[in-house]
Amino acid sequence: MRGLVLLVLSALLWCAPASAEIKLGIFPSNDPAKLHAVMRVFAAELSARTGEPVTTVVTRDYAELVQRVRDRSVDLAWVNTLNYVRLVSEVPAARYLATYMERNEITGRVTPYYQSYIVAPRASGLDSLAAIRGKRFAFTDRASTSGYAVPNHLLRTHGFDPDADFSKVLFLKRHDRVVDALLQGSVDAGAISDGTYFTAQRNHGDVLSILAKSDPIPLDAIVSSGSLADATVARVKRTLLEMPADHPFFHAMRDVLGWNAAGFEVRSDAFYDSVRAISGNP
Amino acid sequence: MTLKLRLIAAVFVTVFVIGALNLLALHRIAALDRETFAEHRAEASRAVDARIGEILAELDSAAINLSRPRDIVNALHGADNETLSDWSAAFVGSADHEAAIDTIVFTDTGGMVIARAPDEFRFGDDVSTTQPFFAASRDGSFLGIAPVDGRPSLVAARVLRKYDDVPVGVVYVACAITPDVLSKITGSRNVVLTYADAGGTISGEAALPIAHAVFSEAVATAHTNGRFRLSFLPDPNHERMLHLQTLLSMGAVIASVMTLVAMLLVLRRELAPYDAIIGGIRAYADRATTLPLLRKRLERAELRRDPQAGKVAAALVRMIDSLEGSFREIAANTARLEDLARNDALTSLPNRRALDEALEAEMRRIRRYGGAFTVILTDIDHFKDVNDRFGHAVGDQVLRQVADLLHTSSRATDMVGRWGGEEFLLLCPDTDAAAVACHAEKLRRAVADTVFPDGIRLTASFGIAEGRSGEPIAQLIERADRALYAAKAAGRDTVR
Repeated sequence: MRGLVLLVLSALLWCAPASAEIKLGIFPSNDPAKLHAVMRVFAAELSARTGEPVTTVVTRDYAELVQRVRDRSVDLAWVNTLNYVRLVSEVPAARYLATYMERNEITGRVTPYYQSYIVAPRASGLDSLAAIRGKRFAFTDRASTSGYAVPNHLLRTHGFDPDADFSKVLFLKRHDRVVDALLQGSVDAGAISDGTYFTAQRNHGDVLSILAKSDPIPLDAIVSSGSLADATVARVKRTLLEMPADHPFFHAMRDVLGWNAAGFEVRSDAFYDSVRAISGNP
Repeated sequence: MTLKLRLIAAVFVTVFVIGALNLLALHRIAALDRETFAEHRAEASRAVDARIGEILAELDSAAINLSRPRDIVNALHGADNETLSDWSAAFVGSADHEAAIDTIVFTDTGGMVIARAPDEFRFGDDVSTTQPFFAASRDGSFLGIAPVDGRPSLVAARVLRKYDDVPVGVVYVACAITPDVLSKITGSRNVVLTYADAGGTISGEAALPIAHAVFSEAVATAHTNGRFRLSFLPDPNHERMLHLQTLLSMGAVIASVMTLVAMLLVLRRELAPYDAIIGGIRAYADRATTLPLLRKRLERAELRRDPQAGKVAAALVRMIDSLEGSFREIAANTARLEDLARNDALTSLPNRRALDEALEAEMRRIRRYGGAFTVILTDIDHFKDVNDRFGHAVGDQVLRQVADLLHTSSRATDMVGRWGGEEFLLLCPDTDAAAVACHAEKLRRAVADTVFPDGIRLTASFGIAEGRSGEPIAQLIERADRALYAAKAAGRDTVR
């Protein structure tokens, strides 16, 4: 018995250096290659500040990220709002660290909110929600906040039943793919984040009509899976809060992904209640 | 046949034989080519059918692989375009090295495209009326040729079923029938595969326009519905070989003709001296030249240029010299014979025959030109006594002396001849009887005054007659003889 205890202890000791590497999981909101490129800057910052090596993982989809937080194969996770409310309800060990903030494209203010837009190609002449009834509609992913949950709710509040009132509903996984499909005419309307909309505007001009805008949505949250030591978590949290708005990471976010990244702040869990209400999660 | 003709004939025979051999070779090659081509044609048709069958099998295999995984079935059921795009992108371009999958389409059960590869962002369109969708929905699968995005394609389609039971849509995997695919199926630019339907014709890459095809036939198989045709173009290697053969034949003919021309030129040059020699000899034979002229021709410098011809010419020159020597000898002998025939052997004076000819000539002369001539017939008196008393040798000597006397005492224009025995006749042109009588008198005295050998003294009698125009010679001689007789009768040593 003593031998077994020793064996377990030594195994734990042997594993200890491995736990020193911090793994950061990110949901696939964009092209994984681009995400990797940006998150490498973020990981470098975290690594410098915590003294631990940090690696990044872009998961196959939203569900995989939740699963990895649950089984602690990632230590930190950058989760979107919808997944955050699901995560904290499904994985009690998960801990909220901070909320990501963006500079609003229109007001110029840094806020922890963004919006979901229902858009259609301007060339199609579809300029109202009423006009897209019976048409082909694209969401991103059922686990997406601004690409599905919020716009789905938005449509329903406008009297739409997306399952019945569109000729076809397609799921294109990523926001940028929705823009591409809209521009190709493969779908007639779609739901995307405001950041995606402004990126498309920068890249393609004023080619999309905004048919509806959602209420402000709390932005992504950074959580820990519960695998890290408290001290490390504290160092991570401090690092996030202390990153200035002109940090190279935020520049990279803007330059590579088109997101108006501007910083992090700590909110309460109640900050996400508005999404909790439409997600069906307690 | 001349040497030239024989040489020309020899060259022509060579040319003919070479040409015939070439033609035979061409004929043999063409026959072999026909046999090979027939085998090749059947084999090519079988290979094309098998290849199309393989491609369809590969496409069907890909369609099965894309219709089974639960992930894909769920993605199609959930209209998850991104997952389906990922799966299709992994299959596009694979399956076959020659005819790669170039389109994968996922549709829902209503025929709306949920995802398409490689055209990732083209979906949401309706393909419910297309044959692959329609047939696969009805039968569970489709395998064959159908238009995909307006292009005729080899297509395999399968229904996707949730729980392996409830249809959620259709996947079809297509390889467009392009010139490149058709080329790769035959693997040759000389065997061209063509696909034709109501929409038009597509042909594989061809080394030449299809119109040049030597043979064309439908690929009759289970897979292709007779829409594929194989056209066999002429093999460039074979064409090159035939071209080479033709060139060789032409070359042989040209070489032979050039040889012939060269031979003729050489012959002409080499035989020129012999031609000159033969020409000279023939000219002489035709009496167009004389031996001295012929000799000159043979001595020309160009004949000496060719050693053999020079020897022949030199030999001929020597022969001409010899001939000329012989001719000169013959002429001399002839002159001598003529002399013998016309002169008296004892006295060397013209004999009776020569005198006859001279009298005839003189008679023709006075008949034509007028004038006169006179003859004196003289006979030595009692000459028989000389022979009898002194012998014939002395008699002959006396006759020679009388002849000399008559000859030397006469004018140069007079002709003195021995008429026979001891009779002499003098022909005196351009003289009449009176003038001749003086001359005869002078001769009479000369004879009478001459002392002959052994102290012999002689006289002679002379009868004169003047030639009358148109008178026969015999009649003239008759008159002269009568005058001589009269002189004899008057006592001899007389002129009458």
